[in-house]
Amino acid sequence: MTNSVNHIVVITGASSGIGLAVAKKAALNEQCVVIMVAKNEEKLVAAKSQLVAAGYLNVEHFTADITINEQVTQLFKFIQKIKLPVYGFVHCAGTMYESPLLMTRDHLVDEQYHQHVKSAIMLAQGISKIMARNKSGSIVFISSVVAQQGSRGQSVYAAMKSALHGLTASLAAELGTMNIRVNAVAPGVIDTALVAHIPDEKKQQLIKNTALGRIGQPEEVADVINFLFAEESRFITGQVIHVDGGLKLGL
Amino acid sequence: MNEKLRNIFASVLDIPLEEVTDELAYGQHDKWDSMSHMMLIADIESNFDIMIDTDDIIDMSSFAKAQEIVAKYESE
Repeated sequence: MTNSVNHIVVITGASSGIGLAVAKKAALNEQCVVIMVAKNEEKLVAAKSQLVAAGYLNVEHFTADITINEQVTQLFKFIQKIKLPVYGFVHCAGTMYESPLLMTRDHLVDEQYHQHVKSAIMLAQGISKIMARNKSGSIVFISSVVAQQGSRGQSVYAAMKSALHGLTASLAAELGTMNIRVNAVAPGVIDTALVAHIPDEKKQQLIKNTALGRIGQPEEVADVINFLFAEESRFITGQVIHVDGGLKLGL
Repeated sequence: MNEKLRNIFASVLDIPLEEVTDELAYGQHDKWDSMSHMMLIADIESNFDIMIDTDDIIDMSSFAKAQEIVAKYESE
């Protein structure tokens, strides 16, 4: 780490997609230590190497499965050791489970709950304690366009993502007096591994239903997240910000 | 440790040091509510360089209990 650093940004799901894009943007700030968190060590190290090779020196990584409490505790011990205030935290980790209702498996519902909802609560609990020390911080959850609009075959994923809206509003109210802001970003169709399986024909239909006539790039979501970390967004809390190019899913 | 902890309580709850006695209890003193509890935990963790488990955060219901809990983490 260089001597100029004065704060930390923590990103889960940082080895690819939106998480990696946030890491790249955050690392541009020489005063920021970026802590990249992901479950797959190999992918995470490769992602970090990309940033280091690009000349960003203030990048740390921590391998953790955020659905396992002990590993989350270890993550917070790691953050605590760096002894710098945490300005920003974004929870990008998570997969999308798609299945018609009748074929939805019980244990996969639990898995989605742990990935998207419980982990968000436990991570917010730990990070807000650290943010409270400096009475400052910004927590961002990643929702989805399907949380409000719904989508056939994505009922479980949509249920979990919409749960984050209640969490965002409630935590914003609870943590506001400590100047900790809590917001969510709801991306539409973004060019990441999460949507790679969508057949071209369906992708074209989604593009047609998007006002801006294209799918989004992870960097376009990362820009909004980094804005929510920044001083410029200091009066924004409890919001779900849609970054979807004007997508109407059409049920 | 106890004096350091007493100072944290006085400072966070914004009360005179004399009011920080073993009997000082969460929810019973006007200044010690859920918000100030969070600030207490944040300050204690920061000053003692420890991380307090959720069970202990819930259990920290008096200044006497807080001393016990912090002592436990300091000995770890």
